[in-house]
Amino acid sequence: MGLKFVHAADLHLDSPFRGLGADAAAAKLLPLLAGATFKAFERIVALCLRERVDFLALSGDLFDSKDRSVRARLALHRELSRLDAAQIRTFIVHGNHDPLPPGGGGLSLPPSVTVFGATWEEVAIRAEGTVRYRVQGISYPQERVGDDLSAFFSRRGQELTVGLLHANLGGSRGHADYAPCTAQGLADRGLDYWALGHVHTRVVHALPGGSLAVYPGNPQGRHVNEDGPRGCALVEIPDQGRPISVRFFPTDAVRWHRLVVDISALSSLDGLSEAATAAVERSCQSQEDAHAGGLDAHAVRLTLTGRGPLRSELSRAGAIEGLEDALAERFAALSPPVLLESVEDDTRPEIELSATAASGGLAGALAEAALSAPGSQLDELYAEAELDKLDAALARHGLARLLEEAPRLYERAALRALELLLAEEGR
Amino acid sequence: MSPSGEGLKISGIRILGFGHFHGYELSLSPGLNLLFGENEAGKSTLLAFIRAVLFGFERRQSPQRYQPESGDFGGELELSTHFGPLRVRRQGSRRRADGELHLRGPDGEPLPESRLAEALAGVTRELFFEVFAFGLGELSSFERLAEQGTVSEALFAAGMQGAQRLPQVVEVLRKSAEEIYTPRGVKPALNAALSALAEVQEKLRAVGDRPAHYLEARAQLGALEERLKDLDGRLSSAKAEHDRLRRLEAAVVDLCAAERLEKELSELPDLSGFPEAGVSRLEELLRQLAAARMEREELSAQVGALERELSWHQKAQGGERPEGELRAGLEAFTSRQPLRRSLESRRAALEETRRQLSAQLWGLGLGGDDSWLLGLDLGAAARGSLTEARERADRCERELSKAADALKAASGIRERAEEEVRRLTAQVTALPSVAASELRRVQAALARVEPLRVERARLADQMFDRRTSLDRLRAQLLASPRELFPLWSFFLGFLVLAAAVGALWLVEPRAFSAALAAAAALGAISLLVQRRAASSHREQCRALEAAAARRKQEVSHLESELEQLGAREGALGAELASVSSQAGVEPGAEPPRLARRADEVSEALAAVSRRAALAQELESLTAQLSAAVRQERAAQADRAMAEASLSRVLREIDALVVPKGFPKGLSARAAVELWSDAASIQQRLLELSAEGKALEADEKGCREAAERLVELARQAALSGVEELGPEGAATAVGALLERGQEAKEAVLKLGQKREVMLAQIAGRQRAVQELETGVASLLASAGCSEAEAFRARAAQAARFQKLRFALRESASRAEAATGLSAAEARAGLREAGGEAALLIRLEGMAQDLSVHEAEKKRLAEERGSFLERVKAWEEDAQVPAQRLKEEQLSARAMELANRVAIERLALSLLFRARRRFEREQQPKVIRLAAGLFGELTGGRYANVYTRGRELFVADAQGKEWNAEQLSRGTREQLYLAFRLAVIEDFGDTRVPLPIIVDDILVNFDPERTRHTLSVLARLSRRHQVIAFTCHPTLEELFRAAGAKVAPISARRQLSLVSSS
Repeated sequence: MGLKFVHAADLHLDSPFRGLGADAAAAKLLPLLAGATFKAFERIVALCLRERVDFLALSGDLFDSKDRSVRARLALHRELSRLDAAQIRTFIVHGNHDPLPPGGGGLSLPPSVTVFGATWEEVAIRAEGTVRYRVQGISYPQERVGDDLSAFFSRRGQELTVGLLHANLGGSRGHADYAPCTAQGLADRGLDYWALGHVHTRVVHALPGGSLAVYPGNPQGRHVNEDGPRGCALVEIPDQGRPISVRFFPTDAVRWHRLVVDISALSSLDGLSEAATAAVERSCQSQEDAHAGGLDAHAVRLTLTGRGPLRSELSRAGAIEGLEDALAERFAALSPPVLLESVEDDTRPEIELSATAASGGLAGALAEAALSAPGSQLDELYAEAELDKLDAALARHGLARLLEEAPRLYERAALRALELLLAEEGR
Repeated sequence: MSPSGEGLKISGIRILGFGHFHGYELSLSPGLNLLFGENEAGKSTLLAFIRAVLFGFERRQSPQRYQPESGDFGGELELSTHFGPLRVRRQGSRRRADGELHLRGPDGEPLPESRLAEALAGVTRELFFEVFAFGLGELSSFERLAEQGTVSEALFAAGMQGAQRLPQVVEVLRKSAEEIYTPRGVKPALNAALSALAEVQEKLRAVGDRPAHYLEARAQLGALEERLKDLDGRLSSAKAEHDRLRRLEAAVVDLCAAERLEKELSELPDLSGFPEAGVSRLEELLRQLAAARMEREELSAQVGALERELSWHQKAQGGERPEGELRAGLEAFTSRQPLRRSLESRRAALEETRRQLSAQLWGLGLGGDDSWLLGLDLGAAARGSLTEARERADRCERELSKAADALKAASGIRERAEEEVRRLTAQVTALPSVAASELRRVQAALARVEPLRVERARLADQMFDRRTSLDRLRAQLLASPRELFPLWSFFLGFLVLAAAVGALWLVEPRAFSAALAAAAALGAISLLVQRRAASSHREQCRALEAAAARRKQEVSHLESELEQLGAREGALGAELASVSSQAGVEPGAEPPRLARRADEVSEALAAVSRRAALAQELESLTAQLSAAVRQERAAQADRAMAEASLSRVLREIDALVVPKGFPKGLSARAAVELWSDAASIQQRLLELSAEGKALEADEKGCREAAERLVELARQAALSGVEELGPEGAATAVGALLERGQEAKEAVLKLGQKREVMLAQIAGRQRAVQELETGVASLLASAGCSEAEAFRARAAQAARFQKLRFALRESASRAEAATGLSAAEARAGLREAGGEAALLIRLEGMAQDLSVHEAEKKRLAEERGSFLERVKAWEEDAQVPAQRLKEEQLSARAMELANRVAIERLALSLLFRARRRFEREQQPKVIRLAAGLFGELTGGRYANVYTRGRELFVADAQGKEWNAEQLSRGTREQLYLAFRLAVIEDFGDTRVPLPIIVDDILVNFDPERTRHTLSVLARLSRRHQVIAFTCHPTLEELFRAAGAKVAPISARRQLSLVSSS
């Protein structure tokens, strides 16, 4: 008898969407968005019930401590009770966003739920007197865990063994490097399946030796960097243990899109508006088609690129904001509604950079800067622009540092300066 | 934009009105110019005019605006630029403080304003004022120039591509960055967003770990519920105890009373068994006994009287008469009385009937009387035979008439059949008799004749065609090809021509040679033509021969075809002849004849088929006729048989009725009717005699009854019976009988009454006995033998009952109050230590209870508040809203931070680029400045350099001075050198612009003035130099350096105005 379970992670129940404006269109969609993480979790539980799995593995970050959400706890209790009623087990580890509360939590979850503690534990599940499978796990006792927690895991028997761990495998960028571990390190532990959490994008790592370490991704994208289908993994491990089948099931109720509209062929704002709407409709429709559960809404970031006559019109003060407002209203009326997160102006001035660079002078120096990678001078520039101080101010408010975006900012700054400089020089 | 030798030059000045200048004109040389004038002649005004036309008038309040109090304001400059002449006109305007600018080309065509900036190579106002067109004031203020960032940048960046806008761009970026964020600002967008974010975060921090609080509150709530439950349990048990004691307390009085009563009761004997209401019951019994006894005595007396009356009645009745016999006699008489009365009428009716029957009998005419008829056997057997005979006779008659009908019908059918046969035979004989097969053969032959004829005609046509083609071909074969131009015709032509030429020669010898030549030419041409015709003719002949061969082939082919067709025609002729003979027509018969013949044949065929049909019909009719004859014969036989049967039956009837005296030869029906009439009369006669007998019997019975009655009456000693007759006797006997009946009834009644009374007496007797037993048992039950003793005991028993009742009342009240049995309640009271202790305990418990209640209320309130809090947290919308706001603000802050970062990075990049320029470009300017400074000071100083923002100079020996340490004149020369260096550099990299200086040589010594003039003269080869001065000495020097010198004066101005 093989093993069948659902693996999900990073539910972030009741976490708000990031990057939403406070405009009317966004306000109208707020109830939909507010319910999205809950709905995604409900879909995970529904999948468990439908597939009659052996258990549900939740690999950390079930909710965000900073959200201070009671609703999240209640939802967790409610949904896990449904599984309990269907005699489906649940295994939970806590991650960096929901570290073990001091004193054990007091969630009073149903009896079929196992919450792993701050020290490594193993649960052996028996059927008809023999061990059927083993589940191991370890929770974060506090937000920051710098140790490789995978080192605590080890295979204890011939039975199928699944490990639950909230960790950063292979130093994935864009995620805090907590409980860092390596593929080789995981393979050495000898487990059949590593149910990982922390990285929000779905990745399947085939480990040396044939086992798998899987990030199912988060079940509901919450900002523009979490675009595309989001969901959980349905894992089936046959008797012999391999090959392991991992099927992805989308569970998101609201889907994020990053769409690019090239302005080079467009001559009017109306045309741009039409092109943007067409792009949005196309993208949303294609995603709708591939989603079984149905999407309540979409959220879109529109990036304008290319060089064209519209560039000067768009760079006028307030032009992008005006476009944003018009499009937001238009998109909100689509069905299902589409939330416009923002319009990003990444269009380029009509300046021949290489020619300008060759002509020398101040403009040449700037064109050179726009063309080349900043290299080592970026840090000096950064300090000169006093961005390190700004970063510190941002960090005080729990915001991300600009430094990560510096190369992009550098390029745009060079273009900006160049454009201003050449604006009325009759070029 | 590449540097151009053709720099900007001012070729003419035309002032409409500016300061005190009105209608002033001045032309300038492209090289060195000196404008000479006394103080207040308007040198500075002219400098200001040039600046104003190029860069706009000063602000309205500025003293440098030079706006006249009235009249036109403004003027124009004629420029020569690298793209040609340009006329720049600026005039005062209400709308624009800096004046209306008009640019025109060489032909007076308007040009866009941007051409001016282009002509000036984008030089800024500040740079132009400070570097290109300056007076003594500006010259001495180079420190300020060096200090002021913008101008410094402009100064150093003057010659650098893309740097003209550097100051503006830097300003734009700085402003934009500061609008978004300043490190210590409040208003800028990012500052505002961050402080709003901090506020939200503070709020969220204040909320604390909401889930932890929530879970804690839930746990506390659980504990609280537990405590409340416990308290509730204790409270309810205490309440129950308190309730019990309170009830006990309420029952104390009753319990004491009960105790007292019990004590009293124990002193009395147990009289609970004393009969209920004993005394009254005894008195009642005694009273009833006395009454019963009295009634019994009264009844006995009444019975005695009754018996006396009865004996009297019995005595009065005396001897018994034969009442039964008398009654029977009377009844026999009265019952026959109606019979007796009807006897007479019955007899009369009998006689009448007898007479009628005799008359009927006579009417039948049978010739016998009643007794004869009665003797006749008209029994059922004889009647049955007759009826049967009659039925048979009826049947025979019916069969007879049926047979007659059948015969008639059969004869009709036969006659009609015979008639039909005759008609058909006639028709058949009228039709011819020919064989149908013969006719069909003829018809087929006829049908074949026409196609054969047509075929023969078609063959004939074909043969005719072939023959015609054959003839044509043969004719063609015989015809030979025609010669187009026979050779002889040419010779004839020659001859004619020769004759004509000869004739011409004779007539006109002069033209002979020409004619001869013409004739020769004609001949030659004719020969040529003939040749060509002959060759084409030969070709034609060859073609014709080939055609003839082809035709011969075709002829032989046609001949063979004709032969075949001839043979076929012969065969068709023979076939046609044979078919025609078969069809019975001549072979050459025409189609109408054939059609007629075909009609004849088809008619004959129709007649033949009709004859066959008729013969068939005749045959079937003959068969029908013979069947009809057979039927007719059968009908005749049937009729004869029916007639024989009828006569036989009639004979049988005669045999039956004649012996009875009936006339002979009666019809069956008459015989039967006569028979039945006689039988009915016989029957009625029989009945009549029976009735007569019955009448006689009745008369006898009535007579005997009457006699018996009279006899009985006599025996009953009724007087005068004989006189009275039977009716009177009957009346007397009736009365007698009635009297006897009445007396008997009276005795019976009395007897019955006595029986009743006797029964009543017995009842009374039983009652008396029962009552006596009752009294005795009542007394016995009270243990008394006498009524008196009983009464005394009864009083005691009443007391006992009253005590018992009171006791029960007290006990039940106590029970009702405590809910316990009296004994339990008393035990409880005892346990509580009596009344006093009970009261004390009660009071203590009441206090405890109120304490508990208060505690419960407090806990319930606490639980309510917890519940409220927990519920509020569960349905909390505020924290999610704050979180959302936090995210929104974060997003906004990040967006702004990105923007400010871009602006600041752009600034940094610009600064960096400028520094690079300064590093690379500045040395050039400084080098130039050093050279120029050396020239201006006659080689006194050899070097100039900067250190930071400070200027240093060094002499040829390397000794260095800070610019501040130099004398005023030398310092001014240094600053001039710097300006000229920048101007030169600008000219190198961009466009040479004019140098306009206003009395800058004031502080220069004559030698350095000369040096300066030579420098200016050198520069004027590329740059137009316009110098203003009021010093006459300078005029000479400038003249010597080749300058165009022009005076500035009001006279000149006036003369210009007057000349214009």
